[in-house]
Amino acid sequence: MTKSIKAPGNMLNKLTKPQIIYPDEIVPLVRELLEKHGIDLEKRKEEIAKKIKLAKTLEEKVELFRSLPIGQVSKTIKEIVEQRMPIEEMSIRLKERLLISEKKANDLAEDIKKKVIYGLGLIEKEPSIKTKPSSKREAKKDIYREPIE
Amino acid sequence: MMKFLENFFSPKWLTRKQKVLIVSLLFLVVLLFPRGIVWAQIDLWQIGGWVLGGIGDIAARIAMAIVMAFLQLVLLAAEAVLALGIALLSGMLDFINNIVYTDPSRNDLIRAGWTLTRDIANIGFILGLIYIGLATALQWAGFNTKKAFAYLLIMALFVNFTPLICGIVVDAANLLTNFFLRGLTQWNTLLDVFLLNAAGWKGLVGPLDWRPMALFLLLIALGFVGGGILLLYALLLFARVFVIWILVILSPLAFVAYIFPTTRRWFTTWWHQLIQWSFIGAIGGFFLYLGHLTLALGDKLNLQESIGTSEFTVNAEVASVLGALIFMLIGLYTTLQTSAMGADRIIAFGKKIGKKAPGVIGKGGIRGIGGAIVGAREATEKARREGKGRAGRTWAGFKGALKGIATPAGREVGEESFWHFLEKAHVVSPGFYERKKRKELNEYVKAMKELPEERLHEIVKRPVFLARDAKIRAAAFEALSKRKALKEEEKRYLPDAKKMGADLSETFKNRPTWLAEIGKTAEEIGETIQKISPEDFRKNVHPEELSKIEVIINLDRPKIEEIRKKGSVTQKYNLLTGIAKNFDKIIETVRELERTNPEKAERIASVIDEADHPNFI
Repeated sequence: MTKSIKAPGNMLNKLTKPQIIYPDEIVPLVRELLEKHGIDLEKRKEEIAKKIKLAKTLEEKVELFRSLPIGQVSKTIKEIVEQRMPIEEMSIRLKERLLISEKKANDLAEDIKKKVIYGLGLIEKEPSIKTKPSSKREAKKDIYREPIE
Repeated sequence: MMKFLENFFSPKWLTRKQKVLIVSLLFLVVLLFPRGIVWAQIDLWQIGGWVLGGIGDIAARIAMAIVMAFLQLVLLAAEAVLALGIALLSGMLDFINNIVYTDPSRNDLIRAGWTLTRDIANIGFILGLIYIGLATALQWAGFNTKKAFAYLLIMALFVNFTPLICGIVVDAANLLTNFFLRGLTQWNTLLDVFLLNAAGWKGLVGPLDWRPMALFLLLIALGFVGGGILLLYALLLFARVFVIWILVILSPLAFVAYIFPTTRRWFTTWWHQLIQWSFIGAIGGFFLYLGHLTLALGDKLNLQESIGTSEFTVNAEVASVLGALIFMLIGLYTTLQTSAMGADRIIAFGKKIGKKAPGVIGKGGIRGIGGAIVGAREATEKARREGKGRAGRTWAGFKGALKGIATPAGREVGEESFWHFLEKAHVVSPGFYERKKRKELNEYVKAMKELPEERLHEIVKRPVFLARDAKIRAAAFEALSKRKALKEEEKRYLPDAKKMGADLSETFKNRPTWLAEIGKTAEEIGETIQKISPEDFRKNVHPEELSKIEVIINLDRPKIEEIRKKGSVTQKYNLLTGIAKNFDKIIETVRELERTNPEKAERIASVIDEADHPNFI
């Protein structure tokens, strides 16, 4: 019999209605980029699955599940978008979280910035210079000053 | 043998409840085994013959044995009712034979009462005489005064002899009543007919024969009907004593009432009641006597010797018991038709039971027998599919039959098979049984609508003994299902609720994995989940379901996106923890599917990836 799982308070907060709605395409895109940079997602899944099998508590299992590459990248993106991490630190964080080389992390970070963060409009690339609205106003027609024809 | 007993009582094989049930059943069968049968009379060669040759009908024999054991219990109750009826009636006949019904000189109550009413009647004669005289003189009588005067004179004379007149009627009736109700010998001999139940057990050996079961059912009916009639007569005869005393005491006033046309109807009523109450035991008793006679002529009251002989045939026994039963039913009918005042109150009880008993016994029989047969058949089939051997199939059949007869849901299946049989035979219209079942259940469903959720959970968990209990549980289950409030531990009540006709459409939207409880395969459950639109799925699915691997592996991207965007926090949490918890199994499934169904493997993989969406973290 499957036991009912009740959401604890700390996780409830995370799952309540988010302030930022991330686009649906984000996961397939991240997956594609990870595969492009030679990160073997299936192998990682196998490894995590083995660890999860040995884990005893639900908390451990959830934590292990969260260590999957897509989850780690999503977490990093979220921290950047929500301004909890400067975008410049992304490559270092990815290196740590995905356990990849520095070069690979830099390349991946560049791609993520370009195609996900800026590409999907999560952050604007550069602060846009707003042109001031023209001060020239169309002269109002004053019917009383119109020449009487 | 010791090894078998050791295995039997080992904790793994059976639950404690099952062991107690089996041991109790065996004990009951041995205890209740028909008195007339002698074990040696069963031909061991015959038993060997059907064990070796008739394996094909093992399920039928098991079902029959279970039904017979069950019927034996009912038969015992029927015999007890008849014995009680006989004891009460015999006691009552002895009691009423010593009663003085009409003679004031030997009965103080009648003397005191009758003397009083006679004196009042004498006053009535004087007043009547004055009334006739004045009416004649003043010519305002609306009736024939000469005739009334003549009646007055005659009645004035008769009023002193009313106990004698009543005595003639009552004594004549007593003579007949005693003759018929005393029976041929003693009613006790009627109990000997129950020795015939040994014949029923004979159907188990030799060629499979269901006819003896008819004999069992007839004996049950005979016990209840015969016992019921005798009990009714005992009560009526007891009441009759007091009613006749009252009628005798009132007799002088009834005779005075005869003088004038307007009051004559009182006399008529009194006379009618005197006749009815006097003969109340004689008419029904006559048919009871005929029933007794039928059994006696068939020499079925001395069966001890005939059972073991070749002359003993089921058909003859059925015919004689059926004949006796018909006479008894006619006797009951004529007794119920009486117009004796007050008797209707007494027989109302008998009528109520009479109306319900055949239905209850008949319905119970059909449900029990049907339940045992279907239970045995299904369990044997299942055991065959599972590749069990002969012993395994027999044991499964035995358990199935027991479950079929012992549980209300099992009996409901038995009734269902009966009605479906009638439907196939064009006796009832298609869907008749389903409509009937739904109509019966609707009454309870209405009652459940107002109840709070906690009460409904409590009702669902209540033990079930009768069909009514099972219907109440099914109605509570349906109500909880419609409120999407069913708990995981209540899953085990689903098959029974379905058998009782509960509407489970909401249940499966809410709890798709519960489809397994009604025999759906994992593939069928998967197909059902996949057919549900993402919106309906999110709106209806219970959060607990989302943590189950059976559901997770049948999700797709649109559904998981729907949950992510619009699902409740508990739904999201259960889905994520469900994936994490079952991750190793999910990966194993994906690896297997990559070989057999790559498309499905891809779909499951995308679902796992979706769980890592930033809005899920």
